[in-house]
Amino acid sequence: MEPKARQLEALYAQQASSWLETMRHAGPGDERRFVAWLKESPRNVRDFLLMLSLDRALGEIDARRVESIESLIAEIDASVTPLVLQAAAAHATRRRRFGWAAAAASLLLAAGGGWAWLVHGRGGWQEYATAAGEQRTFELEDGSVVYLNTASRVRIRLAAHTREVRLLSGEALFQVHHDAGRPFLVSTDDAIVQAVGTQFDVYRRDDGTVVSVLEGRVNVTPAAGTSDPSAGNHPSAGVAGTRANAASRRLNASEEARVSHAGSVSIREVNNVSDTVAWRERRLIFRDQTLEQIVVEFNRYRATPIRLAGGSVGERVYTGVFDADDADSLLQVLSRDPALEVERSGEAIVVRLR
Amino acid sequence: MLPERSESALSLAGAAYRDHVDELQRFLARRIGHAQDADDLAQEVFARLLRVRDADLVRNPLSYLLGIATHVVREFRHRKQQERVLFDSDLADDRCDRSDETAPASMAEQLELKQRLDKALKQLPPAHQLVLLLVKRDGLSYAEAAAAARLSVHTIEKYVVEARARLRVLLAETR
Repeated sequence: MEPKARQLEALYAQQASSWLETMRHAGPGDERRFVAWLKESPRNVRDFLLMLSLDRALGEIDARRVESIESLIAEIDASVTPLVLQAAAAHATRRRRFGWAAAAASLLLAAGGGWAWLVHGRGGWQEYATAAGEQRTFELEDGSVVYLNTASRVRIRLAAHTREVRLLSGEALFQVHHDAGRPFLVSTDDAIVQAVGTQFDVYRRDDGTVVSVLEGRVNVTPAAGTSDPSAGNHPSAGVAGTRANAASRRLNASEEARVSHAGSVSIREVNNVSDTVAWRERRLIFRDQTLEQIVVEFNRYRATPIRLAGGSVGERVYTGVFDADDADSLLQVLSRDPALEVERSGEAIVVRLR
Repeated sequence: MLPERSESALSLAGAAYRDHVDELQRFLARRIGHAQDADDLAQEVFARLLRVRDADLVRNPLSYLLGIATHVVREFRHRKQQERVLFDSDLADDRCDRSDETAPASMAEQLELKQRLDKALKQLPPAHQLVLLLVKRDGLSYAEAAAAARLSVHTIEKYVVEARARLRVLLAETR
């Protein structure tokens, strides 16, 4: 199966499976929504019937009972990264207050050269950036890997007892190499994310910061109330300030935290956390999202933004998997909506209600 | 045939449908892997669903859906019997549909599906495997499974949904 087809297949399978679960104990309004979903397309009918059948067949799964519950639990326990860093992090922070500039770090660039990055010598911080539409991957000296999405900027410093990253704009996925002695801290104006060995995504949006965990666990602490964490000269000010802030929250795999500018944290479970990082394959996945949200995501990759003309046009809701580099894939879907009119001249695209 | 599970959505549809649903299940079980074959069925069921008044549908959507689907499967079979040809692989499939539950071909297919399911199960992440085994194989309630796996009931539910979706994709790929 093509990767895109597989992703779509997974999306539909997930929807069907989710509806089956909902209908197990349907609450008020669920039946109505379920019927509406079924009537959306024969594909939904097909996927639901097949899922029903699969669910039924699962009753006989591992009928000979060769799989052991105990060994699975042991396997899961062994793979959980222990978060023993509270003390270590506090220690590192104290050190920093008294003179952390002593620590120097060097970065190894694994990805081929040719892209613009700025080196800020001060305090061992190095800065990396991508232009609109560009994505970069680089490996740090400690073995961690950073995937930088479009129009993003990070500042990184590896020190003896800590690894610090400032996400100045955009979005990055971090695959953290396990090192219990050196916590990995990612901060934005809104939040500080602390991890040991894990994989997580941080996205600086206009309205706050979104943290999504793919593997392992991280701690998320809102930065609100700390002393000007955005100060460019002291990018770790936010980190240092958070120890006084008890609002630290644990985030598990498949969970997502949204931290507002004001410091409120809301955590929700995400069914397909892999969707969050589909951007690495330059794919954009939307489930029942408004056109306004969809266009914001698309525009991150575009030099010339798509414009929505008129208030309610942005409220229309769509589901789909798109190629981030190819606005045509989106426009194709939109052009099938009889209520919309798509106007194109060169790179400029305007969508309005008819 | 596969046993009823107390938690299965099928049982929610009411005992009256159980017998018919077995036929539907036989039809679908062989098509989990290559879903295109289920398209015809879905098209027809969809067309008939559209003709049912929403108010009626909403009262018991699962019963309606399964009732219509079972009916369509029977019609398909009937149609096949009418238009016999010299050789048709679908016809061979169809014989399995018509054969009773102990017919060797049908048994073999059920067995094959089970084997493929067991194989796919091992490809899931450990936590998904664990939850499926607790809930589906051992028949624990979500609350019991949550206690056994030291997870929240919500997480159990989420893993069941995810695991099922992943199995579906895995089965489609291994066909």
